[in-house]
Amino acid sequence: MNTKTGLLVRREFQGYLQTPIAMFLLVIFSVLSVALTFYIGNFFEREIADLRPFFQFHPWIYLFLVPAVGMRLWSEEYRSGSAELLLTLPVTTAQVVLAKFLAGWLLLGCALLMTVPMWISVNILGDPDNGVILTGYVSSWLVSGTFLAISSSVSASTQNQVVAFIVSAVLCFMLLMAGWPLVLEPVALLAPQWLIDGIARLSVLVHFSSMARGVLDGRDVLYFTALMFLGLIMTWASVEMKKAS
Amino acid sequence: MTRRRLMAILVLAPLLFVALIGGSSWLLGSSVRFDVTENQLYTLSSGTHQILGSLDEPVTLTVYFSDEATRDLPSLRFFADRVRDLIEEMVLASDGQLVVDWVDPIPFSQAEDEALLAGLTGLAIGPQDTNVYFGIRATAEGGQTQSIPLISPQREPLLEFMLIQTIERVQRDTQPRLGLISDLPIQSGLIYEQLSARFELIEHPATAEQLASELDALMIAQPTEMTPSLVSDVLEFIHNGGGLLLAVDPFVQSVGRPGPPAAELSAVFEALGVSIDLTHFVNDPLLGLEVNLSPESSPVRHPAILGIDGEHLSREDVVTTELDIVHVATAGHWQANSETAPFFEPLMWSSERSARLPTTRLETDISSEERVTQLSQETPLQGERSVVAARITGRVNAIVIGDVDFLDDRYWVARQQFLGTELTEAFASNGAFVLNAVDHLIGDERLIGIRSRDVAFRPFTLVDELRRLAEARLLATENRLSSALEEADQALTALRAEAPDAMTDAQRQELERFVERRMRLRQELRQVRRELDQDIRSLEQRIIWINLLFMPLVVVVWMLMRRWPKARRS
Repeated sequence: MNTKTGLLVRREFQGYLQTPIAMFLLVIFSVLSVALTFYIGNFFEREIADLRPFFQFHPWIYLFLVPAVGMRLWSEEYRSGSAELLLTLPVTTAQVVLAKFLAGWLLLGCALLMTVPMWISVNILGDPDNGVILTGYVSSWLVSGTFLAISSSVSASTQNQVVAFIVSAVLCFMLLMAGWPLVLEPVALLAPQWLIDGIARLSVLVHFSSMARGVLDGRDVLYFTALMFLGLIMTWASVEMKKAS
Repeated sequence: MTRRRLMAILVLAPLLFVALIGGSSWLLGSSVRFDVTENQLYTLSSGTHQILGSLDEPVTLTVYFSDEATRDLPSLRFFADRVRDLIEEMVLASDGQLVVDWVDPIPFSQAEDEALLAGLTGLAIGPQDTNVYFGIRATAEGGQTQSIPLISPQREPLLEFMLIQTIERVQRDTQPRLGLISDLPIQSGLIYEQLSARFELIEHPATAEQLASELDALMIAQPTEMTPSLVSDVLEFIHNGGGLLLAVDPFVQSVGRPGPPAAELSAVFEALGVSIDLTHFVNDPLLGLEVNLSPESSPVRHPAILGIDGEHLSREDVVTTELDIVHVATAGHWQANSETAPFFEPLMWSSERSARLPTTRLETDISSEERVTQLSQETPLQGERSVVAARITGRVNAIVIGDVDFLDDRYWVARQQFLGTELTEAFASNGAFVLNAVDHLIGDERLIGIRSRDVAFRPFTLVDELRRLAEARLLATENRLSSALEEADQALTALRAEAPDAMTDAQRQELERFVERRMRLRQELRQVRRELDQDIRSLEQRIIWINLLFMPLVVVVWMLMRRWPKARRS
């Protein structure tokens, strides 16, 4: 990473730490994921040494947590006018876009790290397959990054944080449910099978659960990285549009 | 950059993304893939490579998958994709000898008829309850066929084994011949089903006069009688180096409860150079499994029904090296005579806290609560390990096990109905042990490594341990209280007998004290029973609270400490 982007990432990350947002995010994610694991996922009653009941809730927690982080990435800067200042600095738009995203993603990574006691607990309780748990963490982080990139692109196109939050959450939800009848049925009446399969292949859940089995598949990794890249390109284009106007 | 270009990017980028993901299967296939599971559950094993690499005639796999009817079932479709990946990998490993054909059995089509003919099971989960099929028929060049009636996502880790077993079976001209001498009614069990699918099973009734010819291996499971000529045939078979799997049990308590093993078997023991004590069974509170004695009672640990797990299974022998756990009941102890000792390798053994108790202690019913309590009290601190199963090499080629109950389904497999189809799920490796043993005795080890991945059960060992400790403690307290109670009762009776009519005040007080003491003891006993699960519940609470609060507290404290100096400055 070049140094300018590195500096920007650091500035953004420290920005998080100076507001209560980071604290809320970390605490809410850790409490919610643990509570769901024990009380809804019946982690203890199952008496099976794996973290499946833990990871299965992550995409749903991200569904509202990540847009909450993403909504302020750009909308806030537009509203307060600091975007103009930021973009007059001797850095490119792409660098700023990337830095803001990476800082947010790092924060989400910290939220995930907060749950390491779960990993330790399951190793105390039994003898889990740690390879599977590792891919669980990796895929969970990738899902959060994907949602963040999408939220970032929505945030870049509006000054209103509430709008950004709602639109991002809806987009993420559609992406989660892409393979499910809720989304497929309206399409299924008209579309040919290859298109339906194509849409189903866009589902975050499918790629997430495929990875969480303990298999790092190139197609799943490509899916997440491509989606993140797409979100960032869209962010960049939106910011450039604003700049031009 | 101009606005028009930027607009173009905003429109085109998503389209490009959809195309990229849509084409990713075609671009990457399953080539870029890392299986990080501990047992390499999703990677072709070396046994699979060996079998596929040695196919000398083509095998056609017809995969019946209801493509049309699963339009709305994405999870099944993605599972089908993974099956496709696996089969493609197998095709590559087979050097072109494996040919695959995917067929969509649309309702009322000829393909559906074919699927049904091949023995496939349809599940009524399609639109308007139409049948959905997902099964495989393997056809060899000679026309022999074998089918997998239903592939379900729940059994994904087993998929490779099911496929390779089907392929291996269909391309073989003749099946290995396995002789079976037993009066046990095991025909309805899954082990029998698996054996007859893999081998040509030649059964010998008790009255059989001779052993079938050209057997590749022989399995003897607790025959209650044998004709002298059959015994001499068996001895000849053994002396000629034939592979023998011998299962004898001091106390059969499932599979039909036949009598003791035929006395003629002693000649077989002698030929193998081993002996089994048929008057004693292995009692092991440490390895005892939790069982439900009756539907309404809570589970108790039964020291005569053992779960022989990793530490008590030989890790050096290919037959047991990858097994997780084998369940046995009232098993016997094998011993080698001095001549055989160097060639006698234990495969399964009991813990150091076990003892051998006379089978008369069991009478006929081993599953009364009273009996279990009695047996649980027999926990010598320094017991003696018993050998439950062993391999004998040297002049002979045999594997012996001191149990036949383990052949019964209820000790190792659960059958459940899944949308009208019966699914079996193994919770112990009993079946794998028998098949591994026979395969090994015959000399075919290729399937062993794949089969052993069968059971992927990872329990909370710490919880099990706590439960065991609590039970041991409960037992000690219960014993103490019970004997105190008994004493109090005796004292009471004596007191009443002393002065049936007129009691002195002192005696009356004594009596009242005893009655009170008795009540207190009974109450304590009830309390101890209630406390059995307390350790586990408190562990659960500790783990929940630590996970729930520890890290959030750390973060909050850290954040406050960061902000504190600034707040003071301002």
